[in-house]
Amino acid sequence: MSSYSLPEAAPVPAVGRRRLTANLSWALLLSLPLLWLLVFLFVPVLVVLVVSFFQPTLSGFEQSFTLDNYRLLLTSGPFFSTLANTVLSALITTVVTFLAGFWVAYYLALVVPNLRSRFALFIIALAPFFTSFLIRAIAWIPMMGREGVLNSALLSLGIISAPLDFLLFSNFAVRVAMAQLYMLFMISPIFFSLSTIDPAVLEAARDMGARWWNILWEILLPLARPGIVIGAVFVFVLSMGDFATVRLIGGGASTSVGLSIQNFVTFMQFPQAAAAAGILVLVTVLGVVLLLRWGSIGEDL
Amino acid sequence: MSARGRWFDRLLGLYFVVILLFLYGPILVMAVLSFQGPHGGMTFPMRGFGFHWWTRLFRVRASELQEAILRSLLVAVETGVIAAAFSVVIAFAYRRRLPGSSLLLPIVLLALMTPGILLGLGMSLWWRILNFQPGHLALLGVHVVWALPFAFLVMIAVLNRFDPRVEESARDLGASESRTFFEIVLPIIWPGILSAALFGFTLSLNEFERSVLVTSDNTLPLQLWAMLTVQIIEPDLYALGTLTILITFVIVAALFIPTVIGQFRRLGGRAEAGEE
Repeated sequence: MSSYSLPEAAPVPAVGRRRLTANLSWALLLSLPLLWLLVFLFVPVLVVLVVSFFQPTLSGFEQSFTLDNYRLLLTSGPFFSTLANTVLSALITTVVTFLAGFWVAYYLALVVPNLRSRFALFIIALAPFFTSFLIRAIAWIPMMGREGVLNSALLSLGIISAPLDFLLFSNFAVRVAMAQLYMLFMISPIFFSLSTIDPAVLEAARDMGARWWNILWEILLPLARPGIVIGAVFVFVLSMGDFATVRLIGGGASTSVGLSIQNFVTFMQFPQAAAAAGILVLVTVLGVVLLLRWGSIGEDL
Repeated sequence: MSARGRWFDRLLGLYFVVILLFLYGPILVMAVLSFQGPHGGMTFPMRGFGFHWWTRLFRVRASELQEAILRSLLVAVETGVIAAAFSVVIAFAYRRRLPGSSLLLPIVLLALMTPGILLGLGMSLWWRILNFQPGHLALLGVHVVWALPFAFLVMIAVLNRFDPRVEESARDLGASESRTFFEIVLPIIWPGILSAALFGFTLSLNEFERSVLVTSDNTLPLQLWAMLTVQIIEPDLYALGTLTILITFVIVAALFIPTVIGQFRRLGGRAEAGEE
């Protein structure tokens, strides 16, 4: 390497210098998006954390340090049950989207034979994600209501004798709707991890007598694990922060920390809103850290 | 493959259809109900069939929605352009492995994962501390933060397909860095940049959770939220919902149909050639 490259050494500094100036101009350009993220992402999040320690006043806050906002929230029974309900909804949504979404990703990545139909079907499944969350949330009302599609179907099939009330404006309804809204965040990363698996590996396993559950447990799940972890983190974080679905589909029978934050803001109680957001962030980050740790356990072994 | 395997695959195909029904069912029901008769309500049964609520949407609602629609379109166009431009810069810095560029991916993912309500609250508090009027800039700010990760992922995918030898040969033939970029690289990745911009446009157009605490001037989703939470909802909102979903689907189709065909030509063509 060294003796071979000696005769060519002369032009290297010029190219190197040119590369350096090019890198420098890219670095200068890069400062624009980074500045944007600083102003519109990092500072706002930091401001929330700072304001959560400010003293509330009638129309806002004054800049004196207090822990009261947190103390009041953490000693309040209703807030605790709201927090518990939020975590429970997020966990249920994560598990349900995984159990339901894994097989969609499996079908798309490993069963659909040619690439064109694979991508086409993936995009058909992906398309609803781009539409308005609000619209998709209210679209559940005619499905789940007392006279909705589900109740009518169950009634006419004779499975139930009176309309089920828990289908709409309940925790159940919120979790079903959230599973639908966030399913794509689970399917996509698992789809991409499963797509990288060489079908010959599965063929070989089958030829050597592996049963389908062996293949699932010992090949597919371990190889899909990065995708599963990313998908679970996405769905968990999104459902922890949700408040629109809870408001529209829960209709007062369901609560979430996101909704409490919005209510605090409506009453100009900014430090309380910020403290609720601080607790939300803390619990969410804790959940994500646990998910990531669980996700990397297999790699250590 | 064994008979059992084929049977299992068919079952999965059926299951995929069920999931599609789960994803699309409510939207379809809503679309059907938007053709309710004048005395029909928000659920089945259909009391007549017609364009009553669609007419009402365009005759009555349109004037009250007009301002919000225009505002939404403006911020969506700006978001698309800025997010696309930023994503090009970040993706190139990432690909060139500038010092510290390994931090770019976590930063961008953080933008994706920050809960909308947290970001919205932060923006409104931050602007309040600065004594700024909440409004267009703050809205645009959070929309770009939301659109940027998706635009970035599109650009990374585009650059992964981009053959670096083209760039190298331009440089070896004596083209300057900026000339190589503007005359060689940019024309090749242009469709990708356009996809990133359209991505950002669509995401901004439908954005709600980040916007709600940030501005008092309603965008279309904010206006919709006001209608849903304050007024009694009527089937003309289903018509509006159906319309916005149709528009979004047209954009998604425009975005992906060329990609799907391109992928097929590139990957499918090669895979089929390889199999022979």
